[in-house]
Amino acid sequence: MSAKIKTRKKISKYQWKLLLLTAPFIVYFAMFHYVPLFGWVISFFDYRVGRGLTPDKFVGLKYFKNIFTDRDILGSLKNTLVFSALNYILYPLPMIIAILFGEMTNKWFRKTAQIVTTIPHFIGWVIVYSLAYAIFSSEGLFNETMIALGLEKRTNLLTNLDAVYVFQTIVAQWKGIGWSAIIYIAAMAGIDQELYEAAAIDGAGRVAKTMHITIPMLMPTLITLMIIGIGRFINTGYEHYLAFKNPIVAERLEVLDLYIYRMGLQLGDYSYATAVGILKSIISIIMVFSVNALAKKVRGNSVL
Amino acid sequence: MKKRFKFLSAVLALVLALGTISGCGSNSASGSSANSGSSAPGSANNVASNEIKEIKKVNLTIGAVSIAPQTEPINWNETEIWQYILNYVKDNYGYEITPEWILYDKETVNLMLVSGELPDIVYLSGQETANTLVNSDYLVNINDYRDMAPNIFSDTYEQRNEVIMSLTGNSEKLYFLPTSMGVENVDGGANPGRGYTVNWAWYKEIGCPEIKNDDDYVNILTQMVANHPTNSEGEKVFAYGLRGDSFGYWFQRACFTYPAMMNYWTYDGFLFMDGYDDNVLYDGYINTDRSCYWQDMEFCWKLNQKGVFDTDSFTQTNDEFKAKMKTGRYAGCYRPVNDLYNGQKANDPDTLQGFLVVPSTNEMLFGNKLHLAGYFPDNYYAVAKRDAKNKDKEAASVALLDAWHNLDIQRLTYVGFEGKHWNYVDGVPTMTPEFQALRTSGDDSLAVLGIGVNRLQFCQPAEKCSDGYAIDLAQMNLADNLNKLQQDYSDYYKVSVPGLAIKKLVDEGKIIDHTVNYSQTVAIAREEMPSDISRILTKCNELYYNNMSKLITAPTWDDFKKIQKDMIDTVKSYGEQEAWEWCSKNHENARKVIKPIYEEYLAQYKATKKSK
Repeated sequence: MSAKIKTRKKISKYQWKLLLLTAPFIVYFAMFHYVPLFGWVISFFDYRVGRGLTPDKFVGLKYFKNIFTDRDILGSLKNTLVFSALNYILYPLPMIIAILFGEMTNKWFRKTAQIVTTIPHFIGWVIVYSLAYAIFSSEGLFNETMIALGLEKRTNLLTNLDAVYVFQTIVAQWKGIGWSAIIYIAAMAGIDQELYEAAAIDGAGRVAKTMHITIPMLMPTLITLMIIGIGRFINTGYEHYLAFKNPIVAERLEVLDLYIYRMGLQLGDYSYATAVGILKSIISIIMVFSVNALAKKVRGNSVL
Repeated sequence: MKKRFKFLSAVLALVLALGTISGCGSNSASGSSANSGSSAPGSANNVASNEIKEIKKVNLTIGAVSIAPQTEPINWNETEIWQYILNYVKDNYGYEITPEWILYDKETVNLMLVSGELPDIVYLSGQETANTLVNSDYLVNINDYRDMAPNIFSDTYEQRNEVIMSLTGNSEKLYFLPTSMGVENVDGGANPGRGYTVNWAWYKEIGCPEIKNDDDYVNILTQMVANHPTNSEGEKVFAYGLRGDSFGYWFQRACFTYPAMMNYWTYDGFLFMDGYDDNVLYDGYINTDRSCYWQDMEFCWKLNQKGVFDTDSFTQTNDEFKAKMKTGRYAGCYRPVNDLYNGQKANDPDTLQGFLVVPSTNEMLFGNKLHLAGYFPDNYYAVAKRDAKNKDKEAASVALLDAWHNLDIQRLTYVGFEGKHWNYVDGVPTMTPEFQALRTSGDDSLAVLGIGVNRLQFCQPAEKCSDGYAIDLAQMNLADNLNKLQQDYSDYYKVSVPGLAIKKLVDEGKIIDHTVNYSQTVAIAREEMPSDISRILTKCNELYYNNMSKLITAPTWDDFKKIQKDMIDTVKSYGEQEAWEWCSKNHENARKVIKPIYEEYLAQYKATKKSK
């Protein structure tokens, strides 16, 4: 009995230290992720700025019902799902880039390539749009080059409704791929080098080593990130789409986050925007738990 | 090592604690004696300086929406006039203010309204925001500071304050101090701001043909492009272009020409607008006969049919749009902005390339607009309420705004300092020839002084200063203050200033000017729009924005009409008619309140004008 208590005391002390270390993060999450949840209450009121939430302003589920009669929501949801699906399909891309970086033998070239692909992550969307305009507008670099090469008709990718999903996905990938590859580069550094040495002794070449060692060793990271990514599946953000929005492609760039931003911050219809935001959160939570359950069934263990 | 670490920690903790204490301290503290850098100007209402026993130091934040504080060629805070105003407040009100300008946009304002964390002084725009502020408890009732604000409560601003108070503060509370009170652009002035706008040099080249309607305008612009297919840099020239990131620009031009002739600012960007000629509200979404949106879509479609519309307009931002105007790539413009003239003047000081509005019987004279309550609800100042511990902040904010309201300080913002930029010649205030030359040149030196920042101008330039002469001395003789472009235009139409070329048509009864319209004042008396209504209208605007390119690039007129019909059916399904019923009723109720007030003021104005 006394030995048990002693053990528990030791563990408690250790846990106390760990708790201290995690305390700032717990405070951060409580402050910025849980406390704001109380703000959800405004979706049940006809909220007006500066006038508080009085009982006479209580409207119950009115704004939630409005969501189901709002046709714009469906369009926004469709666009969100398309963009998310395209980006989700390309989830392994940063892993492939990381593997390619790993295969580069010239250290200087590898470092330069890494830096060049990472920098776009730090560029704001407005700047990205300006770059895209300079390159892809009808008088941009792309068209001027094509004209110089003998092409007669100018094309403007920024206004091409048919290409909007693919084009915007490419832009998003360009901006984020280098940054996303970092986690895989770190994971690769953790792979036991003896595995490669053993494979080399067995006569494995670079491709075989990649296929049979690197990729399998990176798969847990990829799967974990994909499961976490499911939670963000419909959280596309709005800055990208707001920056690239123009009258021609607007209907396909209106994602849920942009819709909420417009309704809430631009229009000041906070109650309705909050109701849409709540619905979005519920969908995200359901998706995470579903995928986690699926992963558990397939792989025998889960992330959550 | 451990000891050193402990010592370092102690030092850092001490520094942090001291920093926190100083940061948490009161913003007001007794300071040294007043700097006598500014003497009270003129004979304006000043708080007696001998009553100032101590100078209190106060940090103030001043938030400005949409309009960037001047940073080029120097920061506005560093300009001579701003420094003068600060010294004036110190000497006459006893507050040594350290101001910090904050620029914010509409979204930031909405966030600030939610949190209630407003800057000490706010410069805002929009009726909805004003309604929100009135119904919240965020603002100082400036009436409470009446004793220390003789300028705000002087006779000059009495009528403005009364209108604002009666319609927003139950006759007792004054929350808003709008800018630009008085009559705007008397008789059109030197640059009538709306109407058929052309590159003057190219228009003159083709003999200044008459523009009777939009079709004539399309043909004339097309002809100008045919004569100048490329600019001096070899780039393609278009008849017309716009920026894609702002919906409002796409129907602004038509607001000031028939058949639309609608007040662009009626409902904060929604297409329910009142007619400039009859003050009646029109449904610009479905009434295709009288809608600035449909008129401008048709106009752009016609230009596109002729291959002279810049289709990059859908994607270009304001910077790209301005760069094209500057380099002479457009024959016409939605209004006479200065970019073309300034851009061309840099290469050729005698250039006649610049956008100007030409006389037409199909437009209105953008002038003689009576701003009963200044630019309210489009531009106004307010003071944020602080807790009891920070009364100095409220008082200092009112003091600063009161100093701004001083008429002699108002003159500073237009023509600078007496003895330096102007003098009394035989009792008449007169600009020095050097300053006059500087003004017409549009040189950066004006900005260095701090002259011409319209957000600091509480009075229209033609309003009278304490000496009985116009605040802006240039108003006394506009003909002497024209640039070469305006001079050439005036010579061509044989008038002394450009506005008179269009004013002639008003005098002949062929067109109207602004005196018949009082819609800006109606906006003050309107009720707050329910969110259900604004949501419907936002959806309608979104649909109309998204379909502009389809309309303008429609291959045939039948295609255009088909898209139009589909759009109208769609907005009806959004509940547009419900929104229309609410808005038209609301507008009509407000109009009934405002009409007699406005007419009384108009009669007074006309009587004053006649007696002169």
